Amino acid sequence: MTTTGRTIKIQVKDIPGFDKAKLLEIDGILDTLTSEEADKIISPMIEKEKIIVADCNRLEYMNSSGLANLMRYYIQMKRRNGEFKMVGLNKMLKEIVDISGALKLLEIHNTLDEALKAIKK
Amino acid sequence: MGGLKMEMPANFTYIPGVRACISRIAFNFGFDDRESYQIETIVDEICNNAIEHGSKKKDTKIRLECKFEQDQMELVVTDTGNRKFNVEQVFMHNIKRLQEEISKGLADSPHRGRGLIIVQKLVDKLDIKTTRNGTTVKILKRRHSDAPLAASS
Repeated sequence: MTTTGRTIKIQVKDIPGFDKAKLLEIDGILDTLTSEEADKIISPMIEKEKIIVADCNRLEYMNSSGLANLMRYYIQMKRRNGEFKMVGLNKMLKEIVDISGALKLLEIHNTLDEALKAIKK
Repeated sequence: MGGLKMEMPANFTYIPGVRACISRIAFNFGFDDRESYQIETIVDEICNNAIEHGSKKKDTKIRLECKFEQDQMELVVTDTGNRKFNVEQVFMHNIKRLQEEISKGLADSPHRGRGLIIVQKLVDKLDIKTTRNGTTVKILKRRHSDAPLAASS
């Protein structure tokens, strides 16, 4: 498995049944080149939404730059009493998050249903 | 060191191609999917670090030497260096900071600097040397999968 493309696509969707909540479907690579592009989409939402769930089922690759941004989003949302959750990380990505020490800081769920159940309405 | 030798400009745009190239070669030498993915991460983080901290000047180069033999890969990445920035010391500082973050449960800010910490966890041996001429990061990654060798050195 190699990741040569310089692409990141983020689709933003509402989460039915939740106010001020967005689902971010992240597709592609979150590395030093693409993190800035992703940040332009995600950062404004961090400031106005109450709940953000990052769906990483189609996230192929992430390095420490991408991870640092996700941690920043998580911390900013927590400071505003919001929720930032991640779902669908593949085994290899989860391993990278784990060894960086971030698995203990971030809220990661296997599925979207699991993440939504953990959110206090 | 024999094997693959590459030199690239200190420009982040080159990294995805370089990391994918070395990861693909590792796969052909019998490293499995997971190990090849780890090697892609290792190359990525070391090169990012070399560019970010080691090579601020125009026209500087990052040198990579990569050798596969038996069941291991040896990678040496050299930058021409920002002499005031001691990567070795910063690495030790980052490890200490990460341990504090984990023990507190939540960081005050999402510090960067996890790149070489990730590398350290993925390799069998890591050696960082900062001299007046720059920084050299040397790693050894052993192949633990039983996949047969698709190529020989």
